[in-house]
Amino acid sequence: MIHAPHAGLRRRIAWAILVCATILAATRPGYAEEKASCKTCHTKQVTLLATSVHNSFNCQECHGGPSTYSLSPDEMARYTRPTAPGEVRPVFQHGDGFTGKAKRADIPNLCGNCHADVERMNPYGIPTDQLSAYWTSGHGKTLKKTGDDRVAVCIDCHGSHDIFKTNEVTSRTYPANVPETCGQCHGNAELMGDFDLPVAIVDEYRRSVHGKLLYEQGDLGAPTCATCHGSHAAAPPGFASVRTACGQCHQLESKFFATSIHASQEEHKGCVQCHGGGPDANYHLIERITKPASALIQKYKQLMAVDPNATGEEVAEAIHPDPKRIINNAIESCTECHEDLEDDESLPKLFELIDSIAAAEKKYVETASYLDEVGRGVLLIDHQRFKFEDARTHLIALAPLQHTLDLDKVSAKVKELDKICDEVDQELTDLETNLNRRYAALAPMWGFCIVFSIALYAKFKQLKKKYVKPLP
Amino acid sequence: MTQQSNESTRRGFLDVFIGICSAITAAAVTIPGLMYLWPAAKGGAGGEVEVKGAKNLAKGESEILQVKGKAVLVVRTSSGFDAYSAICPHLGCLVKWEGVRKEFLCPCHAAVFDSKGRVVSGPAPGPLSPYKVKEVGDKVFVSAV
Amino acid sequence: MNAPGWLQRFLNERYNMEVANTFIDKQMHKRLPPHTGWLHIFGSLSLLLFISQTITGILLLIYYRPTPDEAHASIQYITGEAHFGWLYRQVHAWGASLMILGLTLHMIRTYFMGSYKKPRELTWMTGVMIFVVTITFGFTGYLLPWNQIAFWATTVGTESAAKVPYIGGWLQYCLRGGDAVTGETLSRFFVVHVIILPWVLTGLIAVHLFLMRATNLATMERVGEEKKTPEECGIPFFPVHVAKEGVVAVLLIAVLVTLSVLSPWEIGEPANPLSTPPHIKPEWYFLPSYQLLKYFQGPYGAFMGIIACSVPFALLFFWPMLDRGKERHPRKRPLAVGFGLIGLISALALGYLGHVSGLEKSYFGARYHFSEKGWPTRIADDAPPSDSGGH
Repeated sequence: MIHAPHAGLRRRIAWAILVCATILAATRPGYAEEKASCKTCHTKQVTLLATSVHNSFNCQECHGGPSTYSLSPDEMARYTRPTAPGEVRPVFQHGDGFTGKAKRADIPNLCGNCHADVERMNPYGIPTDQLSAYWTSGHGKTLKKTGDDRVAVCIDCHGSHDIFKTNEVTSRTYPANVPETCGQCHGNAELMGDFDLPVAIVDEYRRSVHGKLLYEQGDLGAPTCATCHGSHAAAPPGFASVRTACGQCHQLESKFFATSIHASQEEHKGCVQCHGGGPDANYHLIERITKPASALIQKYKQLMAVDPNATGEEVAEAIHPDPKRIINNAIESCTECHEDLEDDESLPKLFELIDSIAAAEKKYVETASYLDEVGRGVLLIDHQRFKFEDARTHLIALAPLQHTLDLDKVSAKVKELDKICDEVDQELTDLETNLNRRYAALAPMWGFCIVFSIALYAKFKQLKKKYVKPLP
Repeated sequence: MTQQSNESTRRGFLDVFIGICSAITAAAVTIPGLMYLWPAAKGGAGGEVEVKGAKNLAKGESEILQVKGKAVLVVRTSSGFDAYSAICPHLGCLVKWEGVRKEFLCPCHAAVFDSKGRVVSGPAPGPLSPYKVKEVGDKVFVSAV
Repeated sequence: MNAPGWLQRFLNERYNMEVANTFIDKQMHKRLPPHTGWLHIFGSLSLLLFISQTITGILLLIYYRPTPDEAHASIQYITGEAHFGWLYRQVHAWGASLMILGLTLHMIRTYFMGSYKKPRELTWMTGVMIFVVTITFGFTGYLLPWNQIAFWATTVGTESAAKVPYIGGWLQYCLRGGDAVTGETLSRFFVVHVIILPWVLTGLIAVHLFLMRATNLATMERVGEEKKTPEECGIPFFPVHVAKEGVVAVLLIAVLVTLSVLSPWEIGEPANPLSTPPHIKPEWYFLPSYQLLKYFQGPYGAFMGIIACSVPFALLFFWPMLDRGKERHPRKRPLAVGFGLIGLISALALGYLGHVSGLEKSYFGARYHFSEKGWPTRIADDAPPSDSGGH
């Protein structure tokens, strides 16, 4: 309580003082001079500041000048009454030390006055490297080199008076808001044209697997612009280090890719070569090539509903139309090195790898839907479901493993998966065979029951003849 | 006279036949009923599952088993047994216990959890959920919390 | 059928067995009217099913656990682990439907043969009560597996209880044991199903059988003009009629087992209060009421709907008081027979509309979509099959 600023309490005290002062000022008759503060004219900014993380600030800390002014009623009216259309209000002299609105180019240093000051930031536990990081960023470098103040400065991403902590949803730097914040400039064709930068990347991000994760599933852990580009030191990672950037999250993919033949090729663009959305995209339309298991099963069921007799190839195509499309997209960039793709032996190898994974997926979805089908009925298949969990683990593990481009390793994994699927299939078939034995038992049962009931009926007739006299 | 004895023989045969059939029916109804009452091998539908090989586990070794249809890893620690869900909160792969490094590792995307199920590194959005372990004499039971 | 000698001696020394023996003897060998035919088996068929339900119910109760956490798992256990558990569960589930069917056929027989007329009015009225109690059995038992379809059918079913005028909200709250179908609902349905209703039904059946025995079975003669048939022309209950019942019992067991094997009731997904499956329909015996309720809308619709659903039951119950004609033979009472046929046909029609409402069905090569109210609209042949095609 002592060292942590208690914003709410302070705000309340400030308001109380303000209200008291107003009442005092208003109830003292004949007081010749009126007190004015920043808020008297700059209501909007003061209100915004009061809700921001800087709510304990005085205006003077950034703008200089005195905090209150004594004005005669005449003067007060001149500066505060509504202006007629076309009328220009006289310029108010803010007094000594007033610095006014900072120039855009000066803003980084202005904010840095405090934010690069270790002593001032320590109580808040905030790092102080933002300013120096900024000067290493694309934005900072351009500002320093050309003085072009259209580059992003602190207020463009954080706001000026309405600055919030990153974990507040109203903040421009809240994860879900970051793409919009960066998109203010990077989605502006005119501005980006001047800097010779691509403008489609914001839209590409939105359509990418990461954008969908953020926007459609509301996953705040999804990477936003800053995750790969950095925030204050914002800069493109470059193809050489793109794997490192992706590898922050995609650890195994990165590790396996490092063992593949492409990793050592300087011309290879790393992850975005295949996942960057094709040759026409600007490497921001990051897509997944394999689908999650649940989506595979759904596709398979859709296909089965339309065409229960689909061939294996059709099944593979339906559950898995993407790899070839995406590879085809990427093929243009493959030709950069694989000059004669028609005769190149790499491509058939690649397709062999893809086909073996697709076959494993097909096997998986077939067993999964067999399990579902049996499970809806009267058999208890907990044990088989449990066993099948391992197949799922293998299937998911295939996705990172394929980045080795090593057919042997992938085949070994596929075999493990096949083995489990075969075992589960067999167990389910056995269970169903057992169930079918019940059907087989029906015939002798009916035989017995019919003979028995005929005997009883004969007995009934006999007894009736014996005990019942016919009606007269 | 012969007709009457014929008839009585037939009656006798019918009675015996009906008697046999009734006995078979009674048996067919009763025996399954008694079998049903006899407790089935796997125990009731309850949540507590015995860790069969618990006492054979060395320190730092683990065993995977099924509690209410979910995979659970039981780990023998220096002080006793711990049990955690084996289902990785990332994409649902089954994690494995790495006895030497004392951590759970997911083979799919290399999510790592410490011996208390907390995320150490990797893509897992949350910890492995713990299960309750009860030691009764020589036996160890695991159940959902 | 005589008790062993030592038991007789034991009892004779302690009780006045003369009275008991006379009573038992009289009841055992009581003679039924000579015309008692195969149409008269539906009553005893229902009784046999009641016994079967009691036995299988007790067996199920051994492993069943009436809590939301365990109910579904325990049903799975019964089906998959306990020896022959699947059979008892299936026989119990099918027995419920067959029992309601048996009672319905028994009532139809009684109605069209005019057997409810004097002096058997009370027998009929207890019979109607047995029917209502049995349906309540069905409603409460349906929830117990705690699967999706049961959970949501009960949610919808108790929803219509709220439409009862004045006390609807209170009634629904009591039925559910709260605002929604929860573990509380499961507990009360369980108690009603396994404790309260069995005893109520046992009592009603006892009274029904006592009354039936007291007046004996009806003939088709005019009320008050029944001719006394010679005693020796009647059919003795034991052993003659019992042999006939034996045929019915054996065939019933065969049918129950066959249905259980060939058309088992699925366990289904465990109840999930957060996801409603499509096309929630009640059991077949509720379909007429379910469909009838849909036609009553607007401010007084719910009220009228409840009235419309209760009137048939009230009519059934009081029917012997309303129809006091002397004739029993169906050809001699066209009004009552016509009325009965109209009632029967409308119940069947409403039930069928309830069955198809909201679904797509094919008739003579053309596909139709049935609205919730049951009106069909033709679907173009090239339209893709929609999800509502099956269930």
